[in-house]
Amino acid sequence: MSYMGYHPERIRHLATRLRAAGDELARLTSNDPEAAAALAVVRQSRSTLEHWLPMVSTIAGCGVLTDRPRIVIDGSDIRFARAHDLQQQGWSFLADVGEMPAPSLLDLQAVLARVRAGHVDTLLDTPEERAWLRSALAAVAADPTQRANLAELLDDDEIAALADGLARHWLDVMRPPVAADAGPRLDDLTATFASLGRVISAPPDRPITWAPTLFDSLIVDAAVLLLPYVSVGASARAEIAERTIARIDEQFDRYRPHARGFDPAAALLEHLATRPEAATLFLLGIADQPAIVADSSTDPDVVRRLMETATDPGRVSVEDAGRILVPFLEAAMRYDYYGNPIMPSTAAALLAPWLRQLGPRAHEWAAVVDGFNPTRGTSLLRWMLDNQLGRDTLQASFDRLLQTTLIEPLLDERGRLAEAVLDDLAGVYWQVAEALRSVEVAAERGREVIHAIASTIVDALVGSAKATGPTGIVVGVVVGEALRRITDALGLRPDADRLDDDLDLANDVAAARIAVAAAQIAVASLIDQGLLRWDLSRLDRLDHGVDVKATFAALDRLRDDLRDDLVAPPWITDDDTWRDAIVNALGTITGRFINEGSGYGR
Amino acid sequence: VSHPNPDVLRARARALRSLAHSLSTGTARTVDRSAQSDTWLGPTATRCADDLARLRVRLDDAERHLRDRASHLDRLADAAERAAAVARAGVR
Repeated sequence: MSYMGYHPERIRHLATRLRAAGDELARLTSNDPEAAAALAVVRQSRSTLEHWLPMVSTIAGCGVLTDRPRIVIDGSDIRFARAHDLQQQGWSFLADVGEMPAPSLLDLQAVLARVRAGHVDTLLDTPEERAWLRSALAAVAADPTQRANLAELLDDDEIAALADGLARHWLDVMRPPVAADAGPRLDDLTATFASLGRVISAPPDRPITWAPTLFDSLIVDAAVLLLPYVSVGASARAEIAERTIARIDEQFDRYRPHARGFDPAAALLEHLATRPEAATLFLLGIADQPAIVADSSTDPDVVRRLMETATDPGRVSVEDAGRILVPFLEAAMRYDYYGNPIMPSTAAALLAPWLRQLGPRAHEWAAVVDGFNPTRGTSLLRWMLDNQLGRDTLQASFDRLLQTTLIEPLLDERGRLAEAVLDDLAGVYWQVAEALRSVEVAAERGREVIHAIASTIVDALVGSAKATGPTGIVVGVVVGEALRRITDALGLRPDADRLDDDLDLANDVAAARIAVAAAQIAVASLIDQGLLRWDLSRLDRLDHGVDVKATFAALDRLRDDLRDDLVAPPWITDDDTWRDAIVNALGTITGRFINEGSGYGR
Repeated sequence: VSHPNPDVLRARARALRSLAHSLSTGTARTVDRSAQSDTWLGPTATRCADDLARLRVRLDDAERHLRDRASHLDRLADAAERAAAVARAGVR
């Protein structure tokens, strides 16, 4: 609805001045040709004044216009709050045509007065009113002066009242049964929260003062819905989130999502999952009360996303990952129950990059988590692996371990092997294998897990060796030696005392894969160096360990082939020491598995 | 060569400045202040305030233009006086 409002006395003053201005301009004359242009402007200006004078004079004279009926402003609509106030002060209102001008700070001022008076619920109950509020807030936020003036008007109480009012409308929409048009209504409310967030997120030169404690005065739902749209640093965001989740935890019965249709904890955690730095600080802040997350939220996917974000190995330190993961996952392990949002599969996904810290590098987490040791690490592993989904997840996400382990080159420029890396991988491999043995898992499934892990390690090591391998004439020897030591470190030789039959087979398969990989990389290196005339496709035909016996037989033939095909510059072929070194290295790669690797091999 | 009369030029300049002064001090230059949202509001009121604001800008421009032309005439008068002085010196 468009309206024209006027102050009776001031509109009369305007009429008087319009008439005076026109009369004054009419008296201006000149015959000088240099004044011609100015006098044309004067005539045009008189025309403008004469256009407005009749209407203004009519309103000033009798208060009505024939085509515009007098109207009474309804004070219950936020869009007409200021007009209603003016009407109370003696202004008159007529119907008008055209689009109402953008709301100003004065309009917002009138709205805020109603908010202070406690009328917010009825003021924001239509989409039109909310759209108007958004446009008012946007207009004020875009103007530095108006924004600074708004800062004088808007304090914590008004912000809280507005946000709470919006949140109550949100809850009305979410409460079951949910109406068919809930989506657009929630979008509308979300946009309004965003407007409010933007206007209180002032630029540094014109701050609107509020503190994280503001969020304490909001109802929990309002705090959760507003937080994504305020511009605050990560530590303030984390602090607000900590205080809010604590409030939810204290009154969980009140915030049960199935009754309300809205899970504020899930919404809060979902938001934090999109703010990595705040997510880490948040979980560090509540690590001493880890049950708070599980007790407050019912959405396992959200909890997993939050914790993954918070412990992303590409961003957080080993220490912070330990400070977060150990308490939260051990708490989840102790209180493992149906409905706990931190499940074994969640733990598997979260711990995959940090498996070294459960065993071979447990000391790194022991430095920040009191009493942590490999035994506690194995307990966590056992909890994960005792669950089908946990095993599947670990198997599927094992490569994340290698992303954190193979950051350092496997081989340096001089061909020296990064033994610490191999020790770590071997330690992880054995810890997983032993944990698998100690849980009730079908032999076939255990084999799949261990085989998948071994395969992942082999693929990564071969890739890493190829990418970072040394250059020079001895590359084949060095790579061959490296891979021999890898297999040692992984301890892939069968050991009847340590492994049961099922894992024996798994290890044989893994050993076959490593032998093939070792041969592939060594042969490829020799061909690259011009030392070997050989067709690599012969290697590709090797079965990668599925048929262990056939694989070892193929490697046996390969060793003989290599002896025959090895060519080299005269200074190498003439030097028995070099030639023997190369052939012996290849023999080591292939023959070791044939002679020592497995009973299946011969 | 006949030169314009400097006195006439200066008189025209004074008249243009007087006209400019009338524009700058007239009610038309400030009438838009009386049409703001503390007097009336709504789409019609906004159009009126916008029109009057544009009117003020145009009158500002016209006033500047008149003062520019007056200065121009003054410069012509100066030049005419210099030319006349040179001519007088030549005759002697």
